[in-house]
Amino acid sequence: MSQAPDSIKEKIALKGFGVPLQDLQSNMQGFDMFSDGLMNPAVPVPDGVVGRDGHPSEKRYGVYRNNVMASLIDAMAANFPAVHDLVGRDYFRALAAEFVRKHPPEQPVLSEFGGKFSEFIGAFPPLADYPYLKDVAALEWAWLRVYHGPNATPVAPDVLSKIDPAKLGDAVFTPIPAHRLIYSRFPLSEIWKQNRSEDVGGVTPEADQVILICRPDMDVTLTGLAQDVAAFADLLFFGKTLGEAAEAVSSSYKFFDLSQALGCLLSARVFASVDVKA
Amino acid sequence: MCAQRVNAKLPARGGVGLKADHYHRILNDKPDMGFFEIHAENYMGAGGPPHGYLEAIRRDYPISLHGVGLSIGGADPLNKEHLSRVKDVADRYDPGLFSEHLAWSTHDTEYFNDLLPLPYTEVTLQQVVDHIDEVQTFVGRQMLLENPSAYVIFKESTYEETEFLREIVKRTGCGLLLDVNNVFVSATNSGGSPEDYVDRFPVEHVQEIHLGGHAPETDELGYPLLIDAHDRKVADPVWSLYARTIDRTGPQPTLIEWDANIPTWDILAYEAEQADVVIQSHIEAQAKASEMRGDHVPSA
Ligand SMILES: [Fe+2]
Repeated sequence: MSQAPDSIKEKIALKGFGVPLQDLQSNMQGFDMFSDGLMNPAVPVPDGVVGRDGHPSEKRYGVYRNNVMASLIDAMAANFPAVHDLVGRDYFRALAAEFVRKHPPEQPVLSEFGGKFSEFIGAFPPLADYPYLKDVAALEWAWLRVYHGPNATPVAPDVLSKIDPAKLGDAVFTPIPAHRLIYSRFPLSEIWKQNRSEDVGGVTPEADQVILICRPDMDVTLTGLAQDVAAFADLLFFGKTLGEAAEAVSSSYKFFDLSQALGCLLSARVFASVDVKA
Repeated sequence: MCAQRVNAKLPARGGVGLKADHYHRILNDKPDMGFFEIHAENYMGAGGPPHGYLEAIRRDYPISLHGVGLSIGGADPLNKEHLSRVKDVADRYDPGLFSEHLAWSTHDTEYFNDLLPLPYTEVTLQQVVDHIDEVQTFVGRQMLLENPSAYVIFKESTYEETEFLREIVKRTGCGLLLDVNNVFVSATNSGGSPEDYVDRFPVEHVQEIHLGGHAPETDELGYPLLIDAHDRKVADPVWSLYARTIDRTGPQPTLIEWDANIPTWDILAYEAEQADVVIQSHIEAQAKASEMRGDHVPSA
């Protein structure tokens, strides 16, 4: 295997094309074999990966197995602290291990790892009796996306006073990019207060909650929305004019209060701009 | 826009890894610290508090940018999207140094979140060289390559690690980051001599040093198996090895890596001060030696 300096120079000139195909293939196999056992303890220590006596060492290769699983489970615990606390440490680590094996990360930014966790929990038979966990995971994932989302300056809550009242119906509301709406049949705001020690503003209906998560400055805020306000917000976020959105919501919710709904969303500071459509 | 920032260049002093636990202490007290090192992957979101804090801290301190996810040592092509995100962080914060590892972490689209070892062969040498060329060209900066900590030995290796690194530098023009704790861990784990390793290291290319804590264990044969845990103080023999290293490399920016069981700011800052002490005594010893030789010493 040892190479004369001349053959090294040749390879520099050829930029890798000088390497025999056979060497490239066995090199790739080496990486395949080392990878295969990292998340699967049943796979034996790869050939040629040895300790000081020249024999494969489970304990040594096991350091990598352990680092991989433990660090990815830690990353899940950091991203989903409320789910972690709700199910307890041991259960969470076992659950996250199953998740990691089924959906390993595909890129290195771990604050972006776990997007499928809510769905995974929802389809995990042993947790069928805890249907709210799926929604808590969805809320935590939304929180993360908002936390790391783009910065934008929201409009002042009194922005509408600067708009000609006759043209208000044509106003279009652009949300700040760091915002999400999460729908749940469960009292998520209570769960959030207890497990994340953060307050949730707005209304808190017992069931059928909608939570608006947004980040108007550095802090992520959560606001409980009534169903009609949430439907209205969704239409505005979608680009409907105030007039269109109000009309559509009024037809389904006969007690819809437009000025209250606007007040709620403006004080949550979820809009980056309000423009009157020409 | 960045006019109020301090110069990007890292001083030859102790520095520490930037941790969210310490953001407020740093901004409130503006402690005397040589530099902060950031993991590129922690600042890849579009906005939010991490960037808010880092932007403020960068005004007062130089930073070094340390990537953990490029998988330079892997057999697969580099992840182009990730490479582009590394460049974005570098462009955003203008780090004084930019480093990555002689290791791999991605294979077949799976990201393992660990610095995995590679055999040192002609094939892996070419892989690493091609990857570093690509990184340096794309990011538009010189990259420092860090020596890894290893727990296993590859039978197929045909290069010593120090020779492998020397060859990479020759072919890519990259610089080196010498992790002295990794030297101690790898040499102990493979039954080699950490001092020999330092003595053979191509020190003329070193631009930064890492120090960190390791956890002592043993393998199934009873041989020592040190784990590069970064969860405690730097061990005494690693401090001695550091002093030996500094005598060869001269004073270098020196990072204390403490990534798990993160201590209070005061404990972390104390570790960085110990690096300053070693650097100072090296400088004094050099001055004394040069005085005794009768060299011209410029007046202070
Ligand atoms: Fe290091």
